[in-house]
Amino acid sequence: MAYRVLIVDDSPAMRSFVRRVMELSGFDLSVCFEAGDGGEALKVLRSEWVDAILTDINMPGMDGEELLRRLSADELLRAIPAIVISTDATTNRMDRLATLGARGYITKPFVPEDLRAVLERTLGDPNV
Amino acid sequence: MSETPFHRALRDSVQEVLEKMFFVEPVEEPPGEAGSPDGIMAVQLAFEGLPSGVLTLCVTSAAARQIAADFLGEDESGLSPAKVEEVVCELANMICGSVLSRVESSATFRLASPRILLAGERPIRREAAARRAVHAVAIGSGTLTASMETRDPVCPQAAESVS
Amino acid sequence: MDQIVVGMADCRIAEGGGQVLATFALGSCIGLAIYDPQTKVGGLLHFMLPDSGIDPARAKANPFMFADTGIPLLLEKVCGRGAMKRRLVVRAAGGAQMMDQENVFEIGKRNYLALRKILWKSGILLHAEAVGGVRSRTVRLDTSTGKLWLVEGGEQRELVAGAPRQGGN
Repeated sequence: MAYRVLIVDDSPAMRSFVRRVMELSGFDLSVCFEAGDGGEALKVLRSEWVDAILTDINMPGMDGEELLRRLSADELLRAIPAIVISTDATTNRMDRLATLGARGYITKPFVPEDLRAVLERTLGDPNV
Repeated sequence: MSETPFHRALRDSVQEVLEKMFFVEPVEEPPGEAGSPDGIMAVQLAFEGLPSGVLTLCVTSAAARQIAADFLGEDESGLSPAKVEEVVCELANMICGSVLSRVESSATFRLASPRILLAGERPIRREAAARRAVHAVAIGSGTLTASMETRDPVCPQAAESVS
Repeated sequence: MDQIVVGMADCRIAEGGGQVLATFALGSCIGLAIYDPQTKVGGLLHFMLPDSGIDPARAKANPFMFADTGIPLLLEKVCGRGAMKRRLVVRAAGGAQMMDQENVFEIGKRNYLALRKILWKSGILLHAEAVGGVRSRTVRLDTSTGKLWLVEGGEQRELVAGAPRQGGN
């Protein structure tokens, strides 16, 4: 199955890292959109459909929590599975992410294999 | 002198980030003031919350190139200076977030975007910092030094008079 | 079933099924097993040190002693027998904290970090691992089934993907 994915993080280096993990995990990325914050992500989503969104939380402009809030308020966009990749492992944050509809989360730093496990649990095993 | 919880959080965060995503085992060494003949890349990152403050990360140039190549899974030879800067900025971001998650597990914090310090630009140091921790490690072909200082949230005026 | 023993600083390949690749006494060393389920080609490397830069002459004589020379060679050999990188099942065991004769601690950990770095740069993720701790291990790769058997503390079990260290849904 060919995946269309949107990676949202203000760090181009982290966007590359996450993309590499997805590809090495067996996800055939036909399209990989990248955005530097929530605002840019919403702009992409106005004209493109994606199968998954991977987003950071702490970003300049619109942060990841606000992005999740906007996604869950939209009838169509709320169907797209969103996975949070963030440095913030505080209990406050974790609790809010669950209520905002994040389907998976992982905190930085992580080993690539752990992100693969989250991707497989959230999106299914691409190798099956 | 016994290690403070703040310093321990910084040490553990540096170790965890470098081992998990940069495949490096850092070896602790005494922090040094002398510059490297090889050049140094310096990044500064401000954070707001409980506590607020600033993280400064200095990496010697050869080490920065090496860990950037390892992080991206690319060859050093093909790496542009801009890509190396992006990786070091993300390293600072992860160390900072990891420390703050350890010291204040229930509060919310906000990290500003990391900023590369220009050659000759000195890092901001707040004389009224309530807590300051410095941790230096040898990594592969060079050194990484992380220093973190926080304002005490009950003394905002002292911090404001310096900035 | 034929058992092919992989010694220290050694690497063997098997294809066509019906063979078991085995390596013993994995203390701080690491046993890296790779297997292509489609072609039933398997390889097992037992390396001892992370970085050949400390002794290039020794690495030239025996590249399997070091992670940075042994792992690329293992991949090359396996793929040269028809295996495809993206199909490979990759598992590792060893990297324990042992006190060796020179009392050099942390070789196990450094071997493990070197392994992960080289796999990442080669575009490969680990599927399962049994690393760290203080005990010696033995692994056997059955090329008929692709199963990797681990012996640790006198007990045998199949080495399969375990619970991730973190992350959730």
